[in-house]
Formats: sequence, structure tokens, C-alpha cells
Amino acid sequence: MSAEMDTAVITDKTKEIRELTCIVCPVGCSLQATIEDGNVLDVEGNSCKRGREYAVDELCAPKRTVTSTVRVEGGFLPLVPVRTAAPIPKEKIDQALLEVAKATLEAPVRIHQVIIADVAGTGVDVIASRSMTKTVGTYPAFGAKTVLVHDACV
Amino acid sequence: MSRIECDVAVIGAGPAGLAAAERAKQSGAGRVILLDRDRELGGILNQCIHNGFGLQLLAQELTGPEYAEHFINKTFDSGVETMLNTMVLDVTRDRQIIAINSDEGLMRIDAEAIILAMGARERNRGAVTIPGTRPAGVFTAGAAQRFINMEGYMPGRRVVILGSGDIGLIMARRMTWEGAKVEAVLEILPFPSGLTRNIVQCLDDQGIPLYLSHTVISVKGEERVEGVTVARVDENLKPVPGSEWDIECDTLLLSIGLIPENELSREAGVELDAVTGGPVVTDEMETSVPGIFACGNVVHIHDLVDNVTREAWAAGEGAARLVTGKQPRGATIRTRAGDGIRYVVPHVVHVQNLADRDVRLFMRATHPAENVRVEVVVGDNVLFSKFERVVRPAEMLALTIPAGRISEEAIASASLADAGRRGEEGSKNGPELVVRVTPRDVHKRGGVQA
Repeated sequence: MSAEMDTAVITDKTKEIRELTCIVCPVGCSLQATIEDGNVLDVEGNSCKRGREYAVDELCAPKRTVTSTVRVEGGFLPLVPVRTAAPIPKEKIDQALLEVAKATLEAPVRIHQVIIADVAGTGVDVIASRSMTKTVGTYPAFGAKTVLVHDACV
Repeated sequence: MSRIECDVAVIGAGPAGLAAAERAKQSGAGRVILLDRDRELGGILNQCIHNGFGLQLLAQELTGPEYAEHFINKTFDSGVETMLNTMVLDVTRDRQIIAINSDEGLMRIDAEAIILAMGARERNRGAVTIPGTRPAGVFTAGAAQRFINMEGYMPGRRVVILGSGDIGLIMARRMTWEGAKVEAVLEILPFPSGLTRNIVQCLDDQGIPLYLSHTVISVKGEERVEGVTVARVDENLKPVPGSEWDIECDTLLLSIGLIPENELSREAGVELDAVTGGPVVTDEMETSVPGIFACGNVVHIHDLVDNVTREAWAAGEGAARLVTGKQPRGATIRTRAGDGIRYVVPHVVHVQNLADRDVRLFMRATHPAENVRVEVVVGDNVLFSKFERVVRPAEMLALTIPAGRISEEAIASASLADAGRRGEEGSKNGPELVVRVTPRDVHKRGGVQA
């Protein structure tokens, strides 16, 4: 698989064909991109238009969504999962992870609340991937105790 | 012992249980109770903090917790009652559940319909009998995922991963991002068992080597893992002498497959399929025990949560139809895995449902193939087919047969023609819907002219 990514077939002096696997969705189309002087001329093998966009991005400026966790004080659980609101350039991932590692939060947390604005200077925010109540709590989804109607009891 | 009565009781509040409970309620069931042994709803989705969930169903690329919260909110809005920290101890054929929690003690729940949604558990070291010492530091990938993503503990610093299942691949990236060094991922088969996108973004991106046709032959270390010995395997999956080498590490993660969790199903006398490891089900997702339904990983292992949700909707609707007296009646037809297909779920389809509504079949290919048609046939008569650019064993296939596409008459005439061709003995078991994989060009020659 890793060898596949590096396959470069020189077709003439300037053009080359790069093979890559689309990771936009789980279908995983095998793409063949024709590039010349760092520009993508043509993409084949994609079954939707997102495949073409992926190939162009991947060859010119690869991006990834980063997911991690942030410590939360006073929460129902010790960690809140977070993600970048959009994919960020691959070379910014390490810096983004460092900023995420330093961040702390206080409960309650709402889903999609901004945790770090403009992470690693990418213009993309890091947002919460879930809600987190203070303790066992008020929001029934999280830490609800058993819900029972006693008149049904014999 | 307290006694509770309800229309539908759902066991397990992961993606399958959430969607089944909500859909049962929305489809007309009265009291619906959702039981889970964990401290919150959402199941394993809560620890799957990576993205990639919901692409097909919600047209968004969500993380596991976001996908869970979406369905948790829908479940609450629908009026489903939930019981957390509640362990189900027994399920009987006559739809009685014995459960226990620290608030109510022992409970008996009498349900008109039960939906089994217990999910799966991971195969562990015992399942593959890895020789060597028994030190600390050997984890299933999912256990490590829960430690890191939910509890806030780092299980180790230098990691070897056995098995190329999706959870293992996801954990290779996750542990790298948390500062660990992942030395290698080893896969005993000659092809990866996880999704291609995970090979690319979890291994290739991080520069982690994937050794196909390799396995761990020994674990070393006394108190803690100090290393593993790995070796190449031959076509019979036996280690090749002389090919072994040592990798220093303090942690071994196992990502070697999931097993549907069917202890309760067995207690209830539900018939299980030896291939899937889960219950035999109808297209209503009803098991061999009337009134007991099942959906999600307890039935067969899914690779996409979107398909779990779809299957759970079918189970929720099926349970609601039972309690509202609207179950389909009349003839049923069995499904069977034909050439190139390992299994088909559901195992039984109501002929009436084929006329009335879209019927979805889930299946897995036996081996990778390109440019094929997945065909539904009775005898040699193709009743429905769909083109697939690529099929892979690691990626589940879903085939939706549109309402009315396969009629009772079509099945009858196809099976009559088939019986005529094969003589009397051919029709002994009645007609079967066989799903098979056929190269596209073969179909063109045969199908277009016919």
C-alpha cells in the first residue's frame, strides 16, 4: 500500500501519472492522476466529484481532519473528544496536536463548542465532538439514572 | 422483585439499540424501554473519536460521539425510556428479561417484543493462542482505545499491533498522535482486513510499516512486555522457519476481529448462523424465536455504522409491526449465499414485503473482485442485480431491492422453471433467493439476449 503511493510512472518528459487511493469515503476508489509541473491535469478512477477534489488536494496540498481529546474539569468524564472543524494541512498536524494537548476545559461543554480558535494558524477551529455535563446529570443523555415508573411494579 | 411491562424492550444502547428503540417508538409501539449496562448511551461510538461516521446516512463526516449524540437526542425526543447501569442477566423464549441495577435491584421485564442489540466483543489473546510469557501490556485495540480516549490513560510508549482490523489501524494513528512509537502492524493474511482509507491515513501518513503475511510468534517479558518475535507465514499461515526477528516494544495491541455477543440470544433459544456467529433473522429482523428481534453487530459484524443504523430501523419497524398486529403474513423465502458471497443477512424474506417495501440485503464477498454484478437469482433466473465497481471481503455490501421489483409471480415462475430443469428433487426445499457475484461481461452476454 505504501509503495502504491510512491508509484510514479514517467510517461514523457514532464507528465507523470500518480496512483493513490481516495480516502474521502469508505469506498476507497483507486485514482490515477496525471500531473505536470506540480499541476494536476487529469484524474481517473474516481466515482464522484469529491474524488477529483481529493486527488488535487492530496497532490498539491494534502489535508486531514485531526481528532483528539481535551481534559475537562468537573465533567461527568475526564476527557472531551475534539476535532478540527475542517481538514487542516498535513504539515500543521503536529502543531495542532501540541495546542490541543495544552488546552483544558471546564464542564459543562456543548457539542460543537469552539475549544481552540484558529488552531496552528490554519484558520480552522477545534470543536467539541460531544456534550459533557458537569456530573451525573440534568441532560438526560449523559449519566441519566435508571428511568422507571413504579406503578408498574408488583 | 419489581416487575415492568412494556411493548418493546431493547437490550444494548449502542448505535443499533438507539436506532431500533427510536424507530419502534416512532412506528407505533407504546412503552419502549432501552437497557444498557454502561454508564451512558451510545455504546462503543463514544470511544471512537475519529471521523468517518455518517457519510452515507447523514451526508456528513462525523466522529463517533457526534453520531451517537445525534441518535441519542432523537431517542429522547421520541419518548423512549432508558435504564443505564443495568445488566441483563437472562432472556427467555416467552420474552421475559431478568435485569439488575443498583437502584432497583432485580427486575423482571415482560415485553411484547425484545430487540437484541448487544453488539460484539473483541477477540483476545486466548482466541489466537500467542505463545510466550504473560506480562502486562497486551491489550485488545478497543480496550486501549477506551483507556486513551475516555479514561485518559496511555497504555504504552512503544507499540506493535497484531491484525489490520480497522480499530487497530485507527489506534496506530491515535497512539502516534499521543506520542507513542508504533513499530509495526502485522497481518497474517496476504491482504489487509481494514478499510483502504484507514491503511492510507493511519499507516501510510504516519510512516508505520504494514507487514502482510506476518504474525507474532512469541511475547517476551516478565512483569511487562519487553518485545515480540515476529515471523513471515506461508500460504497455510504457518510461520516460515528462519524468517523470524525481534521487535522491542512495551505494548502489544490485538486487532484480530470481533465476535457477536450472543450469550443472551443462546439463553433465549435463538437459532444462530455458524458463518456470521449471530442470529438467523427474517427481513423484519425477527429471530427464530417469535417476538425476539436482533440488529447490528450482534447479528453480523459491520464495518460502517450507517449500515448498523439502517438494519436497526428495520428491527424497530419489525418490532412495532408485531406489537401493533401488522406483521406480514403469508409465504416466506430463504436467502442463500451463492458464488462469491460468504453470507447473506437476512436469512428469510417475506414475499409480501418484497411487494410492499424496499428490502435490504447485507452480504460479504468471499474475495476481492472488480467490475461485477451482484445478482439475486432463483434457479438461474436473475430477478434483480446491481453493478459494483469493486467488492472486497473487508467491506460489507448492501443491496436494496426496490418495492415491487421481485413479485410473488416472478419467484413462482422462476422456481417452476428451475424445478423443471433440475427434475423433481431440485425443489425439495422450496425456492431460495440466491445472491451471487458474476463478472459483468458474463452477465451482458447472457442477460441482454435472454
